[in-house]
Amino acid sequence: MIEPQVRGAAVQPEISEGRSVQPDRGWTSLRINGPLTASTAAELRETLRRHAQAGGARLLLDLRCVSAIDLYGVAALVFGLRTIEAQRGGMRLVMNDLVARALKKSETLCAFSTCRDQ
Amino acid sequence: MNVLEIEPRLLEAPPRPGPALSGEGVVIARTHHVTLRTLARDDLGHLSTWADDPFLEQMVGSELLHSYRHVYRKDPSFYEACLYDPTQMVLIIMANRGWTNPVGLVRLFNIHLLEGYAFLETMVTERRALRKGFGVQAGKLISAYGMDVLGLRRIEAKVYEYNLLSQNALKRHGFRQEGVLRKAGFQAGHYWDVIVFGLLKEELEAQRQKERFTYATGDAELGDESA
Repeated sequence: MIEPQVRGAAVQPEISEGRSVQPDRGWTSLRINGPLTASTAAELRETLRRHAQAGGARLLLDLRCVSAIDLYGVAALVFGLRTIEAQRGGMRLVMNDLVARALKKSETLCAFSTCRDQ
Repeated sequence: MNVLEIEPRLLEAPPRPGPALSGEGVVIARTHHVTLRTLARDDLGHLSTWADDPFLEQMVGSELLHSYRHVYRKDPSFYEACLYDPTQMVLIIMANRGWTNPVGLVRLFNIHLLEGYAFLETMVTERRALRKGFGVQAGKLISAYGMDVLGLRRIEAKVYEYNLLSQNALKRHGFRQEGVLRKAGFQAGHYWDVIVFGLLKEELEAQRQKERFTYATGDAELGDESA
């Protein structure tokens, strides 16, 4: 289900939420398509865990194509952030309005470094 | 930049067979005694019945049911509002042996993922299922899931002073009484004290070890039967 795939520069990070983000070499982008909900969040959680285990992972999560998100999806993102940062890595998000609203409502948006969609 | 792609399974693949899906609801966690699954569209009928039940109103005074009845006026949009609310998990309690209909509802609400706390509400809605331990099991299960998966470190519950059944259930579950909100509840024309209970992660861990409480998430295998 997780297909390593080289893509063009689909994400153009910008300054957002007060923190400057300039992902360049060494950053890995994970694009998530479809629902990020109770049915699917465990898969993302496991993927983030694997990346974190490597230590020092730097992940840019591309959530622009997420079609639905619930508590389980938000919790998976928080879990990923905590796990990766505990292993001296970093995680940033680029997201659509749907995801942004869910993170705001759950009061978790402030924990993430975010990139603006271009 | 390295680029990988994830496509969550349900986007293109058909639903997985087995216990992960129950009707429309997704199985979140289960023990040998109870299964907790997400709300399904068909559950709106149950919610409607429960929202009109004066016994539940008196004993639980659920804000969820109150909202369904009075704010949403039993509109079906309540289903999606619950499902996609990132501050609560509303789960239907299914008893595993000999029960076909839901026996109740359990939810964590006002979930604060960053701070690690949430509030618990448990309702056993089927009268025949009262005093059979389903509420305690469901409370333990959602608490364990909340602490293991959501990263919670504290869960709080409130109970009317006259609801001794729920107070005893919370104590059996490992909750400790933390205080009294004097005359904070209003039922049947009277003001009643509301008892506040709390459970910390380390207390739940100790309880789980003592009772050898185990559970499985989703469609994972369950271990040997214990608590």
